[in-house]
Amino acid sequence: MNDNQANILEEALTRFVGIYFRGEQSDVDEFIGQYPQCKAQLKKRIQDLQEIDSLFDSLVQADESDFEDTATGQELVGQKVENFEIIEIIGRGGMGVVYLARDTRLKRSVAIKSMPAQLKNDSTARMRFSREAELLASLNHPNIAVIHDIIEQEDVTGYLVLEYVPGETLIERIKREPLELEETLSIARQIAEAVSAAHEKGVVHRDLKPGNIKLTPDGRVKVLDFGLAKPSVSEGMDIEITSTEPSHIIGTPAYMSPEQARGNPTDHRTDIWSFGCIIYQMLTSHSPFESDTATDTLARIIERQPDWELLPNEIPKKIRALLQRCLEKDPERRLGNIADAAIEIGETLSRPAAPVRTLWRWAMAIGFTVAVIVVGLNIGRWREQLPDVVSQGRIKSLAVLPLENLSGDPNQEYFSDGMTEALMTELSKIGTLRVISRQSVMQYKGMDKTLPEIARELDVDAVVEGSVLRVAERVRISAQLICTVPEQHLWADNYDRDFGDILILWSEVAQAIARQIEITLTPDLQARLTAGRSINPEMYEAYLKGMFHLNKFTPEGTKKGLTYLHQAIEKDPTDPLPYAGLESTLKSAIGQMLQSALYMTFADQL
Amino acid sequence: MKPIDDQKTQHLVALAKEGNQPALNQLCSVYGERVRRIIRFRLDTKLRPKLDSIDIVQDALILALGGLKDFTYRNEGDFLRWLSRIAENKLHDISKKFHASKRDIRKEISFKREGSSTDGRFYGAAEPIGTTTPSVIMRKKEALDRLEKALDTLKPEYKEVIVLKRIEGLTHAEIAERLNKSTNAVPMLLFRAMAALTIAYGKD
Repeated sequence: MNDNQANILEEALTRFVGIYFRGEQSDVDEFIGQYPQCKAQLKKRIQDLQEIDSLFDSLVQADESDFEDTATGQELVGQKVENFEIIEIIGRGGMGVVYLARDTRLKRSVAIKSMPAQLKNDSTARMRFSREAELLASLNHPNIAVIHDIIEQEDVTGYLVLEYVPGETLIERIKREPLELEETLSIARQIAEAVSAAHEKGVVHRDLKPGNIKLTPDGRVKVLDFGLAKPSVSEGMDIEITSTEPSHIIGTPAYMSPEQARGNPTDHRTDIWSFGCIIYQMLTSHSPFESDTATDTLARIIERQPDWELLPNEIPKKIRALLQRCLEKDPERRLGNIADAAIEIGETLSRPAAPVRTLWRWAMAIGFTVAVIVVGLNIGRWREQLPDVVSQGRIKSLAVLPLENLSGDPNQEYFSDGMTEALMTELSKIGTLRVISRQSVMQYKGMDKTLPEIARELDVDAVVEGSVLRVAERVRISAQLICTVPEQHLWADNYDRDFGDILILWSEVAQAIARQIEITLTPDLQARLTAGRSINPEMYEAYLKGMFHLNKFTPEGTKKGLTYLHQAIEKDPTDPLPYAGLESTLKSAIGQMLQSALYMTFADQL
Repeated sequence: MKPIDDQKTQHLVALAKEGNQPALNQLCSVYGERVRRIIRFRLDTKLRPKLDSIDIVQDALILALGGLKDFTYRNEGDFLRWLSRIAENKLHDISKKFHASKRDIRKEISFKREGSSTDGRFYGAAEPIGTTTPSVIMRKKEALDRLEKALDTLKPEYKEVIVLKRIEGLTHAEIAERLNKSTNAVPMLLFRAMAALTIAYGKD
């Protein structure tokens, strides 16, 4: 368009504004027809003018729906819905209003969410909503906010009663200050575990974003807003309530997957994409595709690669690769299972010499070396001055949590319990370390308490947890050492051994842990810890069963236990283990006033 | 769009005058973002970043609504202009304070933005669960941002006449008085200004 045309356009437009503002009736097409030189341009500008006009209108005049949107539920504050006193509105979104409420019956705080108004007249969507709520209720995952109840009422939309999660959202956390790599990975792993648990049940979140993730004051991650009212398109019911139509996009589309941005069907992989965006944002403080406008953001999601240069250098290669797999635009090429992400992140976290720390050490080492040369200090001393994530000797007490019985067979409990005890025995050899007794620890078996809670109750600096699985003559064991304040995975390893070498295995585990908590292995301690030896598997089996029954402290258990210990002695009379078992049983039995009966049995059997 | 009948706002204003908290909250939700936008349109660009601290608008609104007793409701436009005027005065007060203490607004960081203007923590939400306020005005965020940018490219006289007409709702005679022009000259000035705005708005 040349200057002349521009002038004509401006004049035409000015004339049109006059007609428009004076409210004169005019046929727009006829008006445009008078300017054949810039017909298309003029038409476009007239549309712009009308848009601007309505923008000004909406600015100075509230819209009916404004009141509806904001009023909904406001009148509920201070009211009671069944046994819930509505205290205040704590959130508002496309999905309805969220209230903080007090459950007067159970005397606890809950979050109450009104069901999306769209569900009011849609029985299919309502059914799916209820079904998904049921699925979610069955999830019972520590990183997913729990659904307590659904309140259904006639004529009005119902309510969901949810766990109230205090604390800041991940987006608030990111904005507050940059996250450390370890913290990022620990949060990412918990998100991945939550999402993976949901995916296993067929629940897809579809709106995973830092605003939907809460960090509780005790350091746990809780994912909110799972799956509800976001029906799966792939099921053929294409009522996407979170519509992709720009005017209905509520909040930011920055975490939308390319298939969502295109309005294509989505499945669980859409969550994996969003998960990638969240990790990226935790690492760089920027979401990978966010732009000034929603339209731009959507275009970037579809077309552009995130700026990989922004990622800090110290990020382990594995995590970088994982992130790139999550942010594959084509869902077919994307990471297919978020459980894999949880595992990979877990492995990176448990590796004690994560690259970040190595780098740090090197940087510090160089700095120190220079200083040492200049000042002429004893070079041999510098290493111990290096800062480490866990300072030396900070861990003075430790609890071995009941190892998980991975077989799922209750008849194998004796084995996992026995392994727990074997590890405790091994660790108790480290004189400077206080290892919590078996009785105190066993109460946590199968209990759903957080590590910080357990650590606080037992008053320990660290815990060891893990799992055991026995398949025929092979034993597979995983163990990890977790420092509790701040919660930090210090070490983890997997072992796969012959059953007969089990004691050797435990002494290796104990040595590894001793090294982690930087206990100096004196020659004496070293000797005690390496005293692991091969054993007769049949003897050991009988011994473990015996101890398992004896530890029940019931007359019947005692009887069975002693029978097994006796068998153990028969299998290998040279092994001291069963004798030690008998001795300790005798001691505690005496203490428990079972003395006479037991003594008789015992004397008989000897 | 359905223009709201004045009665709703009037009713809320009446309730708020009596100290009804939900009514006050609702007025804030409906008008808070509008007030912020209006002030942005009127302000010169240097002061704008201060406005992005949502707290100022909120404080101003609370202040304004606290003074509701002195306000006689005539119509919605009136109410909104009255609100935004108080908020803007408050903003100027604050900026004067900053000038007085010889601080440069452009370097002022204590008014750091807390999230975007649409993150829904505007009112009444002590602990938002990461949700947004889907009010009509929020949904038009992008278009309004664009309009604001277009307004900034206009010559001051154009910008002023548009604001006086479309936001302040003044008559041609009143505008003429403000701009020191003859009443007859106002319509043409306004049309030219709007045409220029439309062209600026359409440009990419």
